[in-house]
Amino acid sequence: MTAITPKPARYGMAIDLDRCTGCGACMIACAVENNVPPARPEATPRTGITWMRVYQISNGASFPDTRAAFIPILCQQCGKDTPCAAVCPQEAVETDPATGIVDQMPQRCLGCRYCMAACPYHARYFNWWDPQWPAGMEKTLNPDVATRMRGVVEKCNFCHGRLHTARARAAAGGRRELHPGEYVPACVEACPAAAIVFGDLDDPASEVARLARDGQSFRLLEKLGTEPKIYYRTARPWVRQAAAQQRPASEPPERRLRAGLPAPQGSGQKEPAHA
Amino acid sequence: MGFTRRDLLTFTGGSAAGLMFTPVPWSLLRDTAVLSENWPGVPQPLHGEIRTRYSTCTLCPAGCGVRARCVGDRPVSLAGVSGHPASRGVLCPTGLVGHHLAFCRDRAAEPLANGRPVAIERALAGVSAAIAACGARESVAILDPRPGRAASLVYRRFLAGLPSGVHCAPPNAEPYGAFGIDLENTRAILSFGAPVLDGWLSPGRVLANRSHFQLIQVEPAYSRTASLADLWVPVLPGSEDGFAAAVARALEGETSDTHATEVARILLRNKPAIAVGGGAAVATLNAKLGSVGRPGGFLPRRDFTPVTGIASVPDRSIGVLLIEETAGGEPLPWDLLRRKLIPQDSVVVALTPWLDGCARHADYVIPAPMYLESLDEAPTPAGSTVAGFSLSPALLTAPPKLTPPAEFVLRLAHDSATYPDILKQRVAAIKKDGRGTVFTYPDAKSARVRDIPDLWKAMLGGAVWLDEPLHSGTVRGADLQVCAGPPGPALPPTPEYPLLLIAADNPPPHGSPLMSKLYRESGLRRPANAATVHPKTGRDQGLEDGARAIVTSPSGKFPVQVIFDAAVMPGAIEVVGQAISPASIRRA
Repeated sequence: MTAITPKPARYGMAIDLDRCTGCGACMIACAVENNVPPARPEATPRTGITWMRVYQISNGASFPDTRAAFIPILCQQCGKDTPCAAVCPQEAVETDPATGIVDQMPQRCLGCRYCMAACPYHARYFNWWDPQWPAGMEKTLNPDVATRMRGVVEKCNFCHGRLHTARARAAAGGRRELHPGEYVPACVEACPAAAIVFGDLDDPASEVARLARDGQSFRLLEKLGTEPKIYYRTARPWVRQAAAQQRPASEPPERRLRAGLPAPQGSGQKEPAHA
Repeated sequence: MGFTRRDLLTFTGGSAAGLMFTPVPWSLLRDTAVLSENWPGVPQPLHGEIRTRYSTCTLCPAGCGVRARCVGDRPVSLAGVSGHPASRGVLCPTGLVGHHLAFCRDRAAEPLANGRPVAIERALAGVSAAIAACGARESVAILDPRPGRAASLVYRRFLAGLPSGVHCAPPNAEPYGAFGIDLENTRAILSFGAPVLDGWLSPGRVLANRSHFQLIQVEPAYSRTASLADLWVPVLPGSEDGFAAAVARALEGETSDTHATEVARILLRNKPAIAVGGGAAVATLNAKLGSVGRPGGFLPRRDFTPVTGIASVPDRSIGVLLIEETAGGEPLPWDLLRRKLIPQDSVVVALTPWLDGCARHADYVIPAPMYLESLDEAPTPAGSTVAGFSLSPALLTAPPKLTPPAEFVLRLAHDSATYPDILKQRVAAIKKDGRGTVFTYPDAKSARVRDIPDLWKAMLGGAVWLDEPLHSGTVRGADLQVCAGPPGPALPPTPEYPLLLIAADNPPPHGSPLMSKLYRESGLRRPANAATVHPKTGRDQGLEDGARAIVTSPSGKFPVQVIFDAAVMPGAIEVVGQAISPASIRRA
């Protein structure tokens, strides 16, 4: 039997913030795909688990000049000096050189949460409770993804189970390359607005590489130099500035206003027409 | 030199300390972590053969195609069907977790009479006796949330055999009547509060066409749709009809206010254009825009059967009211329904999968199967320009003691047919007509009806039938109704009620526990008890951000938690799912 070595890739995403409607389908699809359990009643936004979380951000202006946008935040898949990998004493965080995916291995995790403290995007979540589903609902769990126990950290891994399935399918067909679209994470598949584009950033012909090079694209906290592989796109300057804040706040709007987000550009109500 | 006890202790202690500087303890810890990963208390997914099965979503009128990934026979995830004519491969968040609904806690599991479990036969006998006791002046009504289904035909047949039967629908069940919206050719949408980008019609179809039309949102609240519209026109609550009239005047070249003139200019520049939501003035505006019966506007379709709106049923006239509640449907307005009942002498029967909603007020609760638990049907998708029909095959095993609503009515009518028999008749009628095409989900291909040998089998495997389009013209006797948008002019604020209560969001539908968790943690949906006010309005009322307060309106009072948000119109209180009304707010 000959093993087929997959062709190396550097997977990434381009998320169009001008298309995102804030419906939350990506969050839902992600939770279903990755067997994220329903929250305990006592869970808070800080202690709940949401591998992908959509925040509403505001330009901070008062009615009627207020403007809002939605920004999905997930693990940014840092490509250089990955902060969470650097601090993990257990080597439970690993960057796959064949895909560029920063993977979390809950089996190795001790629950020290250094990685959570190190992550500049707050995209890691800790299991404060044993996972539980309402009676009978555990039979709807995805068989390709193991459940995680209390006391370990977890995060987005670009739906690694789907990558394995796609690779197995390609290998069965004697291929070492995946066709474009053969492997997409659940959030990409579920987005009704087609706001998320996924693919190989190293493939210059791919849509995601084209969008990443686009002048409207930017990355969160680029100044840290961690080379995230999630690109955001917008034609609205205030969205770009607001997204550059430390973390899109989930605090009450007035506190967001006090945080001093930039004033709206101009006083007109017209937003750029949808592309 | 002997080996003393002290040497042994020194060696042991030294070894233990030295071991701490080797990888051994860490490896042991890691291995322990690996072992504990499969702790007996942690649920493990079932394994088995992976299969793909197809169905159609019946949680709302959009009629989206569903592709289910199943382990054995059990669905583990749902997704859209690529190329589906209505949903374009998309499912909304509620649809994505439709297979979780069966595991919700508050579902009806057995027939109840006045809150006590009874056998279905006893419930049937009780309802039959109540119907038989109705005099000529007391009507028997069935509230049908989705008129136009084969089940609706069952209801109409049953009611036709009674002295005073009324087949009625909740408000806005048929928002566009005999018309669909030719979204593919529309270049501008003027929306009066319709949630165009937040669950309107079939979300996949709307978003697939989003780049082709300009969207102008006229609404007092800065909604999700307003935030993504090309232009948001914030108007005073209740003044939407006035603004529509101003736009109509501006379309004819008359002088109007600045916003109306700009809107008219956009509509004229981007023809064909339509106006949705709102009241009579919006219908007039559509007539001015020439959007009725023309491509890019409202196009008629063949399958429309008018149904009485519950609001037009006389008050205190219903002796027996059968209410069909569907999984995922909008909450029914119980206050309105109660006004139609004969006081103290009426019987309410809830045909529902839920124990809340109307079941709380019902004399009899007949538990209905949840979405995906029994064979069901999806009629013409909302806003479609052609008639359509698809089956929604069961993907889950239903618990015992459930009765589909149409089946219950068939038994009341002493009809020996079953609900699947009725569905078979509907499919046979489509096959006999031979008109239109069928899109099959597994291969994403369309074929003419007459080319499909076994239409029933094809539809059970996942398919949607689409009629031939009419392209233009009107339907006799079917005027264009307008979508439920904002209600009529609000009463002006008074010294007693100095503020205006407006709806922020629609109340969340029944959904998976995952949905409530994710929306709560992300803050994407406001809690039902949140009252959002402008900071200045809040301070003027002596409130602080996060304070507990009581909102009072002419129709009652309710407790809320105050959220300050500068995006809210000053002088307004935004509360989830509330009707527009004057109101006051004070600290609890």
